Amino acid sequence: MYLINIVSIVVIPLLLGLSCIIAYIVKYGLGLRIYLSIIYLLTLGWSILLFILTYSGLIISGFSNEFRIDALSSFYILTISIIEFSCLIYSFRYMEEYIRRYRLPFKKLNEYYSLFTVTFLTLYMMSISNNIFILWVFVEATTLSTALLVSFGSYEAALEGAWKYIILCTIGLSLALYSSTLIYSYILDITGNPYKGLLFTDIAKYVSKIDLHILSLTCIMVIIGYGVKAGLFPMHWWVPDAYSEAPSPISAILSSVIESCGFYAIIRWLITVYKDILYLATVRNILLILGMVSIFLGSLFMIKQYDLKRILAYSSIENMGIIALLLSYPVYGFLYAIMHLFNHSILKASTFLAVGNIEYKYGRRSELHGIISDSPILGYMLLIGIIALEGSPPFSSFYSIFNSSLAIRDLAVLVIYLIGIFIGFIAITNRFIEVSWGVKMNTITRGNTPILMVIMPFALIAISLILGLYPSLLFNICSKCVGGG
Amino acid sequence: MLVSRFITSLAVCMIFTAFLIVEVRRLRYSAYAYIAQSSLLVTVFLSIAILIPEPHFYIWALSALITKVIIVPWLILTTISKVSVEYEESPILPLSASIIIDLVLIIVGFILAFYIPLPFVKMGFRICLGVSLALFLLGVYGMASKTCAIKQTICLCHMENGIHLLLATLGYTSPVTVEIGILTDAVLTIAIMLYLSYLIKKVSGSLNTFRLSSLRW
Amino acid sequence: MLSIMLIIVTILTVILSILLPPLYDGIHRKIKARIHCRIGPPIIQTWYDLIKLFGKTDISPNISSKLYSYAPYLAFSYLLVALLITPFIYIRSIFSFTCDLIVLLYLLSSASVFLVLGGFSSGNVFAYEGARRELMIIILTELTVIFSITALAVRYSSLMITDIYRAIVVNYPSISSIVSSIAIVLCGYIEGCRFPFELSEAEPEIAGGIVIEYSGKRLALFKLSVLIKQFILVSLAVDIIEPWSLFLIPLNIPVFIVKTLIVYVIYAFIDPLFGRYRVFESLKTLFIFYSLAVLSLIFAVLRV
Repeated sequence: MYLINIVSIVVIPLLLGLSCIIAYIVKYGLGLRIYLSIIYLLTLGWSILLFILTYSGLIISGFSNEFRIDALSSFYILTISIIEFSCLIYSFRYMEEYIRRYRLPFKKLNEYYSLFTVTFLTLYMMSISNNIFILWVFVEATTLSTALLVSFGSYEAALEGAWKYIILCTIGLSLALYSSTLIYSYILDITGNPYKGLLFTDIAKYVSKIDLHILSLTCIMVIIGYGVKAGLFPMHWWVPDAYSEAPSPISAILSSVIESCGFYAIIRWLITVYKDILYLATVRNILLILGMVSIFLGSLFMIKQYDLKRILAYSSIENMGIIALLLSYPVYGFLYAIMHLFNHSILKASTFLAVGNIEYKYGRRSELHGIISDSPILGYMLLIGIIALEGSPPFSSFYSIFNSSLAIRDLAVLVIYLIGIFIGFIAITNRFIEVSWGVKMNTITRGNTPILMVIMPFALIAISLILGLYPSLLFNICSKCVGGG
Repeated sequence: MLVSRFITSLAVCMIFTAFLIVEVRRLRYSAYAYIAQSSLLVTVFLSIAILIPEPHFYIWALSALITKVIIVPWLILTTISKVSVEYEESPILPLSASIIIDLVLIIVGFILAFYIPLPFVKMGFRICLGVSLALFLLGVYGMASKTCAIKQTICLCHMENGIHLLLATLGYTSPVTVEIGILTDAVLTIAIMLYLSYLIKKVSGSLNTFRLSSLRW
Repeated sequence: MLSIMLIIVTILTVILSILLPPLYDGIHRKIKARIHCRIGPPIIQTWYDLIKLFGKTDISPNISSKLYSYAPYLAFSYLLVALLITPFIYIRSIFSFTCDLIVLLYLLSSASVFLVLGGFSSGNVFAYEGARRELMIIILTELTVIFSITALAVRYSSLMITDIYRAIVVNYPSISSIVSSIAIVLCGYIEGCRFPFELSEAEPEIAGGIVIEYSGKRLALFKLSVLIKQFILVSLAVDIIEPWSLFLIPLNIPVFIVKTLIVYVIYAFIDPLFGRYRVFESLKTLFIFYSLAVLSLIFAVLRV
């Protein structure tokens, strides 16, 4: 037992930290790539082990409960590890071409892998921390490392995307810090013990004594504050710019893992502290309205987009709206929300990687058509990814998008929800069908896409397919996360 | 009572420096006003340490001194000289409209502090809460309405000052690791934003972030 | 006994307030000349000029109105009344009453307005231009003074100047009172019509502006009114910052003279630094002073 604690809480972060430094110092080459793949594979294996352990009810904690891994945390760590590993393998070939195309110095590749590992490290530390302030510090740290990655291309649009990202996220996270401070000082006032207000587990014990108005106020501040990171309605302005201008593996990371880290923080707060006031109308309505507006915003803005990555960015906003909507229905909605979080991460990452393949081959992201006639593997991969993303049956997203309407109890909300999803479905499928089918283009292409890059999206889609064929596994996992956490 | 009066007087002086930071056009003077504001913040921490008394606040004051008064202004001034821009280009609003909005935001900050039902805040520190909210709102307004990237960064630092003031007056018993974590985060954010500003100047020739509007829809 | 002392104090206040401003103006000219590396006029030069003007003939243009003739007298008499009711060198004067802060405000504003009206009714285009500029400046300046004084009244819950002095001595001076007095000092500088705010009498541009048609007695009273108006504002500000000396009977007059002298010397050092502002630049600076006054009002409401 003690060994497991030490390894999860101390050894893995140290390993990842060491890898950041090594990735920065060592000259880029095959050795560095093999080393990084081994480290990420180790972390992936360890996260699977952690997940199996916590699934059976074990809770790992260390440093007097400052760090705590339960089912929700380990599920999230599993998601991070899978996606980070696949994006790492993908970016081996992709970034070499990226550096060549944008004429960046070769040293930048070291920076890239170093920052990539820093992102992984901060996300891991965020999911294992039990302290409200340390959680905030690591969410802010993910913003910083990904901002530098978004601006990696060092051209105007990329810098604009990175600038908007970092400004909006810092403002929003400050709001979240305000609410953490308020809760902390309230608990300080109630108990008189300065160390009681810091940990989620301790706060959960005193929630019943906190005044209802303050709970609602801080809940709304947490939702809006961490919702910036998640790309919910009031502060979604950074999403299209940052996603479309970042290199493809970074877009995949941003859309799948970083957005869900915002939601991970919200769900952690909701489950431990705000469990009971979720039945209050004010908080539920805010989540509901934010979710619905995000869905419609995402769907409607998708109609006129020609840039493939921007469409996927608006689709991300829509999916985050779905999660927020589901969160406002306390019992079953939570289950489906966590399920959708996982599904969306896997499928969105695979779609972004597929678009990256197309960008690699054709050199651009818009004004494409006839990809299937040119290279059927890439074309079909893209189409299958999009259909899976939109919730078609054999994939797991069917359960989280359509089956989740069982959780929505108001008919009006259900109807509006389905209309929003359909608009999005039509917009995105229209654009991607236009891209995939049709006459072959007359442009110069790059030749064969490297096999590593092609495998990764397929692997992720395959995971979703398997989980979709055995849905009870996913249901059990998610109910464990909701119940245990 | 005298203690909280002294601390609130110090906090209120920060509002003047806030005005200067947001309104002054010359970037260096804005940075100097930020140094003045951070020194006031360090004085507030020190007086909390001495007067309340709260011994581990000495470490807070020391870390705030090192990060906010020495490291961050040094970073800002180095970037200003590297980018060699002295005056920011005129922001969206003219000076008089900007001053009116500043005053309105300060009033809103104080109204919020006094009318939100927070029973755990002692009366003397309500004004500090108001000052912190006013600084936060002024910082957000500065970031929204200024076009120069470095000016937006300075307004971000100013906003962080407001948050740290709140953290100090409400949660002054929290352990040192929290404070050091938050301060390191703040410094890293500023460093990355300044690096991005330098890149923006190198790539597009000016620090105007509103001109980077190649991405519309 | 007390009332005899109060009568003596009030008479002393009026005499000092008429004697001192031209002397301070002379000191201002001397310091400015020294900074310009010339010797400059003697300190009593302004008094020599005023006395000379009293002896000259008073010519009025044909098209000017009665307002032109009476404006300097009206302004001067309003300022005399203001001197009678405002306590500068002692806690109270014999005419102090409950709402004398508002009456003081009214008298100061009216004096400014009369001077401007005198310019408007001169019938001269240059005078019209100078009066127009002065009016624009007066609007913001008076607004600043009003807000500062309101801040004082709100903070110390009283409209009587005596009560405000007493309250400042009993409690510690608050931030709102310090900021108000800084705002009033800045307004005092603007009222003195010196660079960079010398807009109403801009010699190279509008050849004397507001005072172009005035001569003789009326001109002397005009200039004296402007100087006394500035002096009232400066003394008010200075007494708000430091009201403790008002209680010490034999020492209060020298301390008061020293305090106002310090402020005027600071003014004298600001004057050579600037050229003349154009109108919109001066309005921008005035807006900043105005925001200082609003801030003091906000702090006064918060009882800081």
